[in-house]
Amino acid sequence: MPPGPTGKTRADGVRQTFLRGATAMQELIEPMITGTPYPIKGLVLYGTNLFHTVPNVPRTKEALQNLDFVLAIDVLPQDHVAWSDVVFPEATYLERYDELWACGHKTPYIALREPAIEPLYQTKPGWWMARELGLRLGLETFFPWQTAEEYLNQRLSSIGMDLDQLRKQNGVVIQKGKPYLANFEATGGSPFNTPSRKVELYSEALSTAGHSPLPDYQPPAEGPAGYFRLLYGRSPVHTFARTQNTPALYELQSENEVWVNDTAAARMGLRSGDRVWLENQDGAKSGPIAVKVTPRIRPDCVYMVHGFGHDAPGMTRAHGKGASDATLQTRYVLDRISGGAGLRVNFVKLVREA
Amino acid sequence: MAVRYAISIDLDRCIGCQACAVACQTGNELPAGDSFITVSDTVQSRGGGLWGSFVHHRCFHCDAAACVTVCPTGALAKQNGLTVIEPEKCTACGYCTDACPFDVPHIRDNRVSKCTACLGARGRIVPVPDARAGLLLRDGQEPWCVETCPSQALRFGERERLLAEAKSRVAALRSRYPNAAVYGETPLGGLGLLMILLDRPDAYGLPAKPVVPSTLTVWQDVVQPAASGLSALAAAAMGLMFIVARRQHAREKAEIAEETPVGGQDHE
Amino acid sequence: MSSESPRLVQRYLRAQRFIHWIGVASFLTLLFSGIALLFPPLSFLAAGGLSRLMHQIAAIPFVALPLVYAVLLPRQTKELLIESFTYAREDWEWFKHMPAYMLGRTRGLPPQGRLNAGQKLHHAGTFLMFGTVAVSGFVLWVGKGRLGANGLACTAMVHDLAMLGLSVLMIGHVYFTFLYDAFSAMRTGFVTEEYARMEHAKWLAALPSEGFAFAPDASKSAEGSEGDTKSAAE
Repeated sequence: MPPGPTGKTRADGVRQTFLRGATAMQELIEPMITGTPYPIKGLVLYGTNLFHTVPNVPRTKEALQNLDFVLAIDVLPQDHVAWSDVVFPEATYLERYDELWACGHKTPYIALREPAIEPLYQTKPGWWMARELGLRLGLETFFPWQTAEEYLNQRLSSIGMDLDQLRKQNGVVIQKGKPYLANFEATGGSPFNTPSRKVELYSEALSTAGHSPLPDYQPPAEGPAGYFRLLYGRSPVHTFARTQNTPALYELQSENEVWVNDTAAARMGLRSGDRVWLENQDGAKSGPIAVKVTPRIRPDCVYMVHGFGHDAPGMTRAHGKGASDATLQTRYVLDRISGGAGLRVNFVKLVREA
Repeated sequence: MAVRYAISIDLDRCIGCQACAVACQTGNELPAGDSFITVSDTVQSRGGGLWGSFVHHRCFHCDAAACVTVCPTGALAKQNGLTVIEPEKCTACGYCTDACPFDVPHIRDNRVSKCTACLGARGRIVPVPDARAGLLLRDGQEPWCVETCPSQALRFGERERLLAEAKSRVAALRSRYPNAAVYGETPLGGLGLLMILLDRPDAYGLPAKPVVPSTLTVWQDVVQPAASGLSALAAAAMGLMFIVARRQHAREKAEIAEETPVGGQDHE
Repeated sequence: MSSESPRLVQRYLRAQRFIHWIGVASFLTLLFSGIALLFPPLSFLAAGGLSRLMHQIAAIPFVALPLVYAVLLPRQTKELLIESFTYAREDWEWFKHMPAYMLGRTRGLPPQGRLNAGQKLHHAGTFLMFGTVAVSGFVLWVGKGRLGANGLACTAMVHDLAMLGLSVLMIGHVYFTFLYDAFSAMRTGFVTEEYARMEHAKWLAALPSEGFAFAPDASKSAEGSEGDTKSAAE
């Protein structure tokens, strides 16, 4: 297996348990508990909805308790925030400057992200937190600027602009783009970073790394009798697990439902609107959640929209509404190439609410 | 001749994201619990399979609008093909809520509430020549829903043009959806909200041939004017008769007084 | 000229006058608050729901009146109802004479009882229209938003037509009141003997003669003592 740039083994197992990819967050949970391959002492959770993102929530909670220091930085008092040692409430995007948004691709552009109002509460922007921490950590040389405007002006000067000019242009600088592949056609190069410079169906690189060079179908495992495979997905109204508390969206969809096949529901005597608890193969529970009887789901599966079942009291509207699929995903299958977690390998049974 | 505008919804392009509902609610600053647009879906078992579509419930901006017919104060009126509201005139009598064949207007805070294509108090329609022939309302913007729709299912423009485009779209859809049709070309004088349906109207819970019941027109155009007219006539007739009758009665009393000298003085 | 004051006959009790004027006030309020919904030029009265509020408030005493009457004067209520719907031969005679009566001539009328035939008809019509307008009004009030287009239109038409009937009856009522100088009946409760003889001779004749027709000055003190008179208002 080709080593990484520094040659060291990273705790999440990149290039060991999986070939490529960014950090596999879920692969850090066990190292945080076992201390293998090396102990992890602290964690900064910045814009990460930990208990709705990483499978096996009970194990994650164990990991947090094992750490010496957990810092949560968030715009919302999400479920994991109460499990942290220190909380930095962050100002929302409407209340802060952010880094310039520089986008390449076909029509490159640079966009300004600036505050519309002063922060409503005692929250701070991310850049301020970074700078204040940096100064206290002896990193003054990396923070020669006092304000975000200074920083942004400095960056913009490299293209002969400043904030005022950028604002006059409605905050966007659009640069001349070109079709993505034009260069390659002219120069004879290829955008495909493969040994053959082509899209490979049979991959030598995977073979060298010890993986199967062709996709290798493994049939999905059966669940226990009386259990349904738990499928999850998205509703167009909500974004991940972070908008359930937003008033206008909460009005449109305040909770999720568990979709049960109509034949299966009839057999169990369940009707739409009945409230049930979901319990998975490892005994993890979440609920109560309303049943939706529909022919739109297979008889051996149930489906629910991701992102509900918040238990943080600070999520005043979303608190206690619906069930959390993340809580029920105590098992996952690691994709050996990207490090991603396949979560649709959990099974649940429906327990009627007493 | 005032130009007739319309909104069109292509239910094949609609992805059910409800961004239109959210944009409408926030753009019009509606209070929590109120909305002008409701998007839902309908799923039906058909021939061993399933058929589904998104369903929009919102004002159809009928040309011969029942709500405008019954509104006693003119709070509801037509403007350039769209049904608009002047809230100060509304008395919350609720006639419109009963009259509408689509059950659209509702009373909120003692005023009628429904989509007005964002033609608020300051709204005006300004044609703007651009590639999309976009039209401006409400301080120079398109209706919120149209502006927001990420799949261009919602459009705003001159009705004639939208109708023609809808029809050609339906012709293209027929291969996949044999019952696809434009809803709103002719009913109720032609609707200001044209919908490209993927199936017959009843699949959407819509009336196939919506009408303003004749009872409403009889009430507004016959009975009410007749009642006022007859009352006024009665009052006028009685007024005239009074002059004549009073004189006759006075004469009669004088005759009686002559005939009976004892007792019976003039009354007050 | 002899200044012997005219003798007065009591026609209506205080309770009856009270109910009548409450009825007038509530009816006129209902009429005008309803008219605001008829003419767009008057719609400014309706904006904001003011006229609707007035209409609903006035509806309550209006509808309660018959019950109040029945509770205060049960005997009179019963007799009024019977009288209004009972027509004898002289009533039909009166109707034949009605055109002349409308034009101010009472000669040739058969002697009338307490209520002449026209008044009976007026009462009967009023009761029926009252019931119709009250019931249809109630339906419009509680059924708002739940009637559907046809239900709304039909109920409203019934309400409008009943109101038309009541308005025409009222116009006629006011007409005859002032034509025949009968206003005092409801203003003071008393009418002159001359009036009584002219209009309701049978009634006058049937009244007990003693302690009945009062001299004007005595009649003033009798305003509050109708309890000890055999009232004409039965």
